[in-house]
Amino acid sequence: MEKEQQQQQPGGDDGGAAAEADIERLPADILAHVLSLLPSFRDLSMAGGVSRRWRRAVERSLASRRRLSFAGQRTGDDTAARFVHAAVNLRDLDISRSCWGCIITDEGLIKISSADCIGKLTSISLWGLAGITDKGVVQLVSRAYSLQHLNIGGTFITDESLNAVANSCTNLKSIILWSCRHVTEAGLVALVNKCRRLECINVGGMRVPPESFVSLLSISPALQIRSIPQILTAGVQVSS
Amino acid sequence: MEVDKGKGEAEETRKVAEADRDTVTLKSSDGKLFEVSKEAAARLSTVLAGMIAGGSIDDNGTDLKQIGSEALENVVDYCNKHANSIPSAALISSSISFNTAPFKEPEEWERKFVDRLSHDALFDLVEAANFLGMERLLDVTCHKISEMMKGKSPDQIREVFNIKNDYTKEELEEIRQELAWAFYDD
Repeated sequence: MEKEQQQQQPGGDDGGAAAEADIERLPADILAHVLSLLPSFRDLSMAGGVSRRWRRAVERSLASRRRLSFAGQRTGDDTAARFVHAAVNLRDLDISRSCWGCIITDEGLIKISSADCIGKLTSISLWGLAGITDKGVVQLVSRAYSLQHLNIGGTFITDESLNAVANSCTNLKSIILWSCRHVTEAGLVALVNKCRRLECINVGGMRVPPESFVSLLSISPALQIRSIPQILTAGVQVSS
Repeated sequence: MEVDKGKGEAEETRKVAEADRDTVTLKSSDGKLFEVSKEAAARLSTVLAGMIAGGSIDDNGTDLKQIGSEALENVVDYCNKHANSIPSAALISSSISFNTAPFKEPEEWERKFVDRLSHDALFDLVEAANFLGMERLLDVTCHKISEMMKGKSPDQIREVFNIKNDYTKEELEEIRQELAWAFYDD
């Protein structure tokens, strides 16, 4: 094809090669669409570092997401928090431990907890985040009023976190506490007492005596108490 | 239509339309004419579907002033290939409308179709697909662009797409620190 149309030269001060193919002429919503097709957050983060316009496009592409999963991806506190803040319509947040090891800490959870979407989240997975403690978890769940499903298995939380869940997440339907060895019977009782919609609780690998489950059932007879690790989705193999 | 026929000397290559012809003629911004299957055009482009349904298709060539001939040729090519090679139902249901449904990976022929394009032609085709409301073609072309970014640093992306950095030195340093996690090799 003959090059008839004179492309307007952006900037125009680098006289060498005439205007190359110019991605910047694509409208902002299209650029956001391109970015939403990137499968990894690493790539998305890199794209945000290209220019101001691209950073806005990254945020725009995040704003339309309902689900965000960092599972299997390396992520830092700041990057994860920035993504969650931009994802204003988020409902399902999965920051479970990636195969690269845990980089999310309490600091990350605290930053994430101030995002607009937190009050609307229905599902959170913090599975296997060995670097987090009650400090970060309490901050996060205290604002997660709409939460229905929480996976906090494989962490070092104590009853303090469970109390915060009990007080804030009254719509909770299921919780996975697999291998939370610092949680006691008192924490479980508080949870089951306050969260009257709780249908299912996974207690595999905990250090709570089996008798205490009887008292949970006396509070909520229909409660399903499971001990089989339901973490296969997290890509972790457990031999039982 | 019959009346106009006499005047259209310049467009003599074009076949005269029967009333129930199964193609439509599209005219690019630079005046070139392209025939495309009416069925495929209506199925793949919401804009063309609306024009066909609304009777605003011109048998002498429907003006698409925003689309150059190279891009329009690709659009038409895509429609015709699509009409020939794909069981339509699967594809239509898979087209994504901005994150509401998962993106369906391009078919082999779609991949080949976009792979042969230059950057410039690809961006033109994105704009044309956007203008014509061709969701699937927009996805396939945007997906191709996203693939060019994969695994690259901000510097490399700027280089590939010839983008000017407009961050300040301080901001760049901040970004570098923020992205430190992403630069570690596996």
